[in-house]
Amino acid sequence: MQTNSAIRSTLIQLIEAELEVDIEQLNLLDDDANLLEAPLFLDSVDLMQLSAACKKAFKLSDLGELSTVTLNTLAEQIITKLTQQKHASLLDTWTDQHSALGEQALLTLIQASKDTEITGTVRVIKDSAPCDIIKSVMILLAHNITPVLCATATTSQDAFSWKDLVITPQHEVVQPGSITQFLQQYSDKTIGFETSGSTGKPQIWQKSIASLHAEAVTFADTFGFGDVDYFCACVDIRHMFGFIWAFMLPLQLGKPVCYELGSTPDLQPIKNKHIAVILTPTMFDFVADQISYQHHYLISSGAPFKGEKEQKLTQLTEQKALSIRAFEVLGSTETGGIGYRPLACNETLFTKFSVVDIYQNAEQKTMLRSPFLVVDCEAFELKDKLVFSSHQQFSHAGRADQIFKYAGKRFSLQSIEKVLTEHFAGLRHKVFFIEDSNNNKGGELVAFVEGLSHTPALQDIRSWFKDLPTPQVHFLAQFPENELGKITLSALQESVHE
Amino acid sequence: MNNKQETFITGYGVLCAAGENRQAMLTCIKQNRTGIGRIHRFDTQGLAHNVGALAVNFEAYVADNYEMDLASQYAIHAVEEALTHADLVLGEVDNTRVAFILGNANCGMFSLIESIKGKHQKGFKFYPPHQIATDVSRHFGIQGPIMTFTSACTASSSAIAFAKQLIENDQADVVIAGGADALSELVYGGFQSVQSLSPEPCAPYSEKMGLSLGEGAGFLVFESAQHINKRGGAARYQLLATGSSLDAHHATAPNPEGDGVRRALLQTLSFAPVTASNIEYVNSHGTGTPANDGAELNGIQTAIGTQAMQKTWVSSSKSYFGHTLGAAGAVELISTLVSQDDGLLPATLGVDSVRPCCKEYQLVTNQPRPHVVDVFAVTNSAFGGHNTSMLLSHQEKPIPSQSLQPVYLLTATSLCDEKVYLARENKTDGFSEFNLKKQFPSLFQRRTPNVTQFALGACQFALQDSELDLTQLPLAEFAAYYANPIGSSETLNKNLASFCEGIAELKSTHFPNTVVNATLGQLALGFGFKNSATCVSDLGNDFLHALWSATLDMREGRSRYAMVCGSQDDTALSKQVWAAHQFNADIGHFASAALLATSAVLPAGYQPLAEIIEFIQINDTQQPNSLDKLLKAHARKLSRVGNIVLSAHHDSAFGAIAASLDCHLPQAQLIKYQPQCVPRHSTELAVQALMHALNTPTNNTELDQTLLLSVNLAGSMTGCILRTVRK
Repeated sequence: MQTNSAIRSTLIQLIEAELEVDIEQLNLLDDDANLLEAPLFLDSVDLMQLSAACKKAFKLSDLGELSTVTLNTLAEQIITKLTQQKHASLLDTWTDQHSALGEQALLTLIQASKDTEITGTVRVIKDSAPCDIIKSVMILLAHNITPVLCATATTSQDAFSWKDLVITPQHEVVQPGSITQFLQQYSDKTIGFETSGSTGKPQIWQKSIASLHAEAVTFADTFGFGDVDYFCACVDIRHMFGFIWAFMLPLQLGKPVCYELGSTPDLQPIKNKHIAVILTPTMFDFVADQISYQHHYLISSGAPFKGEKEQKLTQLTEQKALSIRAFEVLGSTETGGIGYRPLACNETLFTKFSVVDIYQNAEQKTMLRSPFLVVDCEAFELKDKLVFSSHQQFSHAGRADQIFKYAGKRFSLQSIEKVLTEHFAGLRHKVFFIEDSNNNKGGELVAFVEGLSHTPALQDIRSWFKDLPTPQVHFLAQFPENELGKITLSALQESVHE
Repeated sequence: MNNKQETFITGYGVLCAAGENRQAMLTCIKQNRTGIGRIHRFDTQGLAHNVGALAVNFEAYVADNYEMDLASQYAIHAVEEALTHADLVLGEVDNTRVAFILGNANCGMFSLIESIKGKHQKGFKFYPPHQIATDVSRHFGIQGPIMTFTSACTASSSAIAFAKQLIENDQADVVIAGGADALSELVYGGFQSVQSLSPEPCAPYSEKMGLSLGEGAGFLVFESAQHINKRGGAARYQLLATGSSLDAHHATAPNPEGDGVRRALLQTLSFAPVTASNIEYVNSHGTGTPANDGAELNGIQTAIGTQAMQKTWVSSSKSYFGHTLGAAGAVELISTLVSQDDGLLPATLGVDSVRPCCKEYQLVTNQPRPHVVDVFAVTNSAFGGHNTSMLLSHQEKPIPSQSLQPVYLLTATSLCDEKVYLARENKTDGFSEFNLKKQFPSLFQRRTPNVTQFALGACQFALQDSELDLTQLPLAEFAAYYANPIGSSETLNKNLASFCEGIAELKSTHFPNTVVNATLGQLALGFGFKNSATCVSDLGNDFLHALWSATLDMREGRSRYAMVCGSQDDTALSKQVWAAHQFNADIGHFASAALLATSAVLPAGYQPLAEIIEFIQINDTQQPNSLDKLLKAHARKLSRVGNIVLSAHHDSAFGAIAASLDCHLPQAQLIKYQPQCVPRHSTELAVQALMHALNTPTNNTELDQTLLLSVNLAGSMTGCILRTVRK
């Protein structure tokens, strides 16, 4: 939602451009001055145009009567209408900060797009607004083209947006079926998701529509969401987690979604409506204060939800006597959902989703088999260390042991981390071994430590590691987190170079 | 004293959403059926609603091969029916004594938009509203006066009022007058931008607010009793009187008390052989908008008195066929006539719940009322705050004789102002660089288009040049007459630019200035003019026609002062329009203004420029013998002409006209007016010729009159007989 000052600034621009008012006169305008009086002396025709321009600029379907108008009252009226409109449009559509999209309108658009030729077999989608992404994905699927969702801005000239199509406008006619039925027609098709990867190397994973659907069905069955009126999603649907939880799941449940992205997400609920909030740990910090009794679910994924965040949620739940059902979902793009853990109730164990099978293979590797895996993968080797306390429950013990070969000897990354933990207790740290065949030791061992005010001397650091290789330690004021709350090597390295 | 010819209606024809003839319209009225529905002719995507009233069977006229604008085709259909109804065969009457007077609001907008869409190439040719009058009149071989009134929703009632003046002054035996308009998306979107349209068929006076736009044509045949008797025709109704006024209140909104409606109706009554208590029914403008209905009813009541109002039935016919804009006055009058022919008063449909401000009136709602009336009125109002009314009767009423007032031209500015004129001729100054905001800041208003700024400036110059005590001039008593061939092309350009982004992008700040008479409204607002008014368009003789309209009104005593103003702007779009008429418009804007007064108010010793004696007109100078017949018919009026100033846009017109003048006015010296500096505007040549005529007095006391003859771009010639006073 735009702030009052941003709205005021837009209003001034509109008055100057649309009503042909001299800027000198506008400079004399007080925020509480009646626009029909000095210094502007607008008339009813001006107000009609101003109303039309405001509706266009702020994407309002209605602004209501403009009677006693000042910049302040107009800004307030716009904020009120924006809120009302958001609430109204939520009830039957996908809504983002730019537009709203109804299921029928989407079906009509898909139908209309069929008259247009779209080339290629795989196209990266360049849209960033959720409603646009949904349109582009569906249109590509309808043309048997594999859409690829990439959270970082694409520079490819071949990137696709539905907005680039010349589609003959059609009056919305009732299209048979639903988007769910439409997707069923393309269940064997895939959508590509590009991950940044913890090593910083982007990779595209293909997920079939069938697997995405299966995952949504599982989540719906597991959590219910029966008393939820709509979803509020603070996650980017270009990520797999976002696409499943903020598009496929609500679609499966037949519930509307409001996408609240950016640094000022608005979680204020419609009166008497119950919300399920989908977010990442990072976004939790931005919305925590808005959580109220109307927020019935909170689903977090993308990175661990722990420490201060969980404490804060616990406090909020107690202070506000919330009945919110909060869960952390463990999974990745490659694996899909693995399990879930209730938050704010001192629970550390995850419960495995019933359709997920985790086992040790003949090589003693932890393998995962589930209907949510990426295409052409029967079983996936887990990099996470899961410690099972029962058949269904496990704790997440971080990444599995990672052995690296340094100067001809094998070492465990965990042993390096252990030393760092001893000397930087309470501080976040990360350690990586970057393989490099040109390096005569086989690669480079680097560590990053967050928030240390006094940097220790290199000699001291060397003394800590004794028989272990000494990493090159970088001290950062704050670790960079991506929108999912993940800390990647590439981002850490960029921070060092800044 | 003048023994006026009484004016009778002998036939009428109509085409609108309620039917394509009188009988179909009557059936619609009797069945309480509205012709208003969804609009499918053009794309209304993005608009809040798409309710409107397209003419029945309009598809038959929307041909690929355009020979004339859709409004012209509607008009031809309605005129044919009117002539048949009047049992009048034009070939059997003197065609130089037949006049055609058109009311139009939308210009040839339909054709222009179709051209812009690439459907044909003639949109610019058909755009000037007078092209519609030219095409229709020539289709019927009419050779008498041709005038086009463009005061938006009062245009056809203005045309009817002028028809009456032509009959009364014996300038025509038959006048076919009415209005025609075709609805275009630009107009539809414009009304939507000012939030005037109703989401459902309009129901004036009801709680349901908003108007429904319509289209079509309505024409009536007016004749003098003498002519009806001569040809053995039948008078059906008598047009008793007409009147008009200006609100001087707001560009689009009417005076909230209906004061302009009151004054127009009072003026009408003052010229009528009946009193207010004789009025049994009023067919009101009743648009359905919140601003109009209550104010109009209040204005009518204030004019005729509360007691008379309680006995007077009122309805608006717009719920049958929508607001037909330039055709509204005529179509609504015809709806009353066809109803009365069947003993009914037309109703206003869809009135479930009457608005509080309309409750105290005797409304005919939801079904026609069986009731035959003798005297009835029709009222109309328009953008620019222009109001008209007319009184009619079933029974013949003798019109009292009336003394006619001599009308004088006091000043004619812009071209008369020697400094400005010469400066402009020498390109050293600039009238073309005239800046209203700097020169007359009190007259300047934000968003005022150039065509209006120049008009306001010219009028102010005219007042100053009169050397009268401006502080003593009763400006509210001034009548105002405005002339412009195509309106503000600057605003149209802006509007088209918005339209290119989508019909929903049209701006309310632009729309009011798209109507031709927006400038008339601004003159009223700027100077406080509140008396009679008309707005005319032509293809070159615009200013002369405004002068003609003013002269007739003033001679009747409707006003003692009048401001006559013409202006024209210059844009890429206007250039295209004039290029389509084989006229190469040059740069700059142009305005001229003339101050008129009757002898009654001239200060002692004041020397006006000239007395305006008479006007004559012939439709097509290319038609053999027509000019001879005209000059022969007006031989007595022309007997004192010593000088003839003849101007024509196209040289080819000169030869035949000169020969005819030589033959019929051998006593007069013919001055072929061809200025060294080629006129830059289509209307400018006639004004320059007028100034030349004023500056070329005869020295012969017997032949003391000058005849100005100006041939417009379509070959139509208007003549003005002047007696120069100030030499």
